[in-house]
Amino acid sequence: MEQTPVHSLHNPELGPMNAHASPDDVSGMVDGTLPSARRTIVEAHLAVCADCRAELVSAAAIVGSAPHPRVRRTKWAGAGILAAAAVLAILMVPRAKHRGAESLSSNPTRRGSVAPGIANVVPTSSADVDRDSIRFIWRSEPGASYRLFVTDSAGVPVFTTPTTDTTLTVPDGLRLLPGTGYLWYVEALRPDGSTANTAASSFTIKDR
Amino acid sequence: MLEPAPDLQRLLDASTLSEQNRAWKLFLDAYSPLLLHVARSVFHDQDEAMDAYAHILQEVRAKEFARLRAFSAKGVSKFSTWLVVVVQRLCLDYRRAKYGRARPVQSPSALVSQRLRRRLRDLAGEDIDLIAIAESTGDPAEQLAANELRAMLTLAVEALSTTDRLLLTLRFEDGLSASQIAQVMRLPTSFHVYRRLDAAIRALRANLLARGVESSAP
Repeated sequence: MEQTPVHSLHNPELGPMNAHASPDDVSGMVDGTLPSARRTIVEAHLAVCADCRAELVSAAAIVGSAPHPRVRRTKWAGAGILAAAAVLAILMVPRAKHRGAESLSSNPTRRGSVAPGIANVVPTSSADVDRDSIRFIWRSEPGASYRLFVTDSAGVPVFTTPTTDTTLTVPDGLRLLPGTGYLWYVEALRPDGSTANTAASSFTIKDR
Repeated sequence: MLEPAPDLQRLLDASTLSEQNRAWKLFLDAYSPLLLHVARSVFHDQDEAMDAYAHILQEVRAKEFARLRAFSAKGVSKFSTWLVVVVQRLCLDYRRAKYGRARPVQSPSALVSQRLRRRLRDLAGEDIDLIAIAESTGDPAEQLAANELRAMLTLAVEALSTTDRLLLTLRFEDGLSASQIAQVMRLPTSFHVYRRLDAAIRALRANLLARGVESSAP
């Protein structure tokens, strides 16, 4: 039987011939979900292809520090607000906690995750707030600019705006409904280009 | 499918322009933070990142979302991971088009490249000074010995598992830290990386000794 060159990504039984790893190969390596036979072929190629290796290393770092896509829910109950906030908070916890004691500040590849400095201040989680007096305040990151996000309880954005301040009053025209729950969080853009998010906090607009 | 991607499916299934526009907005609501994150990771300058983000949106929308349609629901990875890989490629193509290629392409024989040869002493053991052999000044006998040693080292490396070969390459060719390697190869901690590296190096050394490579002396 003809031997398949180990460096080639071609195997008649496993996939098409390519000079470089496909997006499926690279993403499968990042997620650790490639079937073992395909993984063997891709690993052999990666060992001799600097371009594909660089792509894998970079993609793994980006995925490791990425914000998670917001999951849309079709219905919620009062308790669903807290559940959504808890889910967002869990999703924003750095993956480093699962890999052992690596501090965020010592690992330059960890970007876009919950940072120890920046944090929501008011409204505090689960607060009931007056629509007319709602004001967002957060702890600062040195040298950073920010983007405030206000979402509904399912995580769908209802308002976002950039700012260089650490306090913001939403415009009068923003429709926040009485008796309705929302979430808010802040993304900091640091001078070095990295980003960090606060954990999401919930609040409810008081009924009039 | 490992990860439900309803926003993707809604977009690809849209049959009218208004449905498509609405689905595109929902898709962006879900994934634009991720797209921005990739752009900022490739372009550290904020303005360049935003230009790249605009380019990404244009390319993703092109030809009825042809790039997104390439994702297979039966694929092996999460949609968000696959999207990162695709968007990173778009960013690198955009950067290349703007600024030219960033670095030269390395040859496929990276495992026995010049840089790796400098680290072969670590791999093969103190007794084998392959640096001296590689840098021999042209004596035919020394050159022959160097070629033979290089061939035996290649065979010893190829006898390792593909995982160990990749591990050694990431460490000694690319110079990645143990924590970076752990992230790429999905090992739990740096400690696991060191342990596996140690085992691979011992296997290499044993293989070379079995082939009679004990000294650099001809």
